[in-house]
Amino acid sequence: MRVDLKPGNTFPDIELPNHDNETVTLSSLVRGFPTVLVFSRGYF
Amino acid sequence: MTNYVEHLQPELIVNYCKLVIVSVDSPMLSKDIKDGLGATFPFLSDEDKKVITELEIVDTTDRYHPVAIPYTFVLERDRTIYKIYNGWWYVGRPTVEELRMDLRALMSRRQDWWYDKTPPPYAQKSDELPFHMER
Repeated sequence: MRVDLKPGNTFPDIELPNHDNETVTLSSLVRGFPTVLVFSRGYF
Repeated sequence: MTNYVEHLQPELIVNYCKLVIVSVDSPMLSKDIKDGLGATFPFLSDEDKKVITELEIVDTTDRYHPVAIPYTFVLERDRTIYKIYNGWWYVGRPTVEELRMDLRALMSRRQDWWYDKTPPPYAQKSDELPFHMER
């Protein structure tokens, strides 16, 4: 894991397509609320 | 994921917290999984592995199908990292109760946590954000 990903640092504002194939930013989802961000293994 | 849908999702409607999933599945497959689970929280697709590569969290155990190491990040309201769970070992993944405790700790920093004149015990000045409760 990248060294700057540690408590107290800001998580990058990643930008990805969502389940409807609309590109969204993490900040647009967080919108000032505590957020749980889960990286899933997915279907594989 | 089913435990989050069953036990955490109902609380997300009322607890002013968010849950976001990222995987390397395509948007279409993500939607199928989301709908199959009955999930209402968003699924993001890192199909080309760009984000997980940048974050250096690629699990290459299966070199033909690299996926994300199952990290869970609990983020404060400004995306400051509050806690990190490494779920490479299954037991490392946070339970619903652990997430509930983390979210409570973050919410309790609000100036209006007690919603009366009592000075909130855990409030931080940096958390003096205005109300913007639209969801």
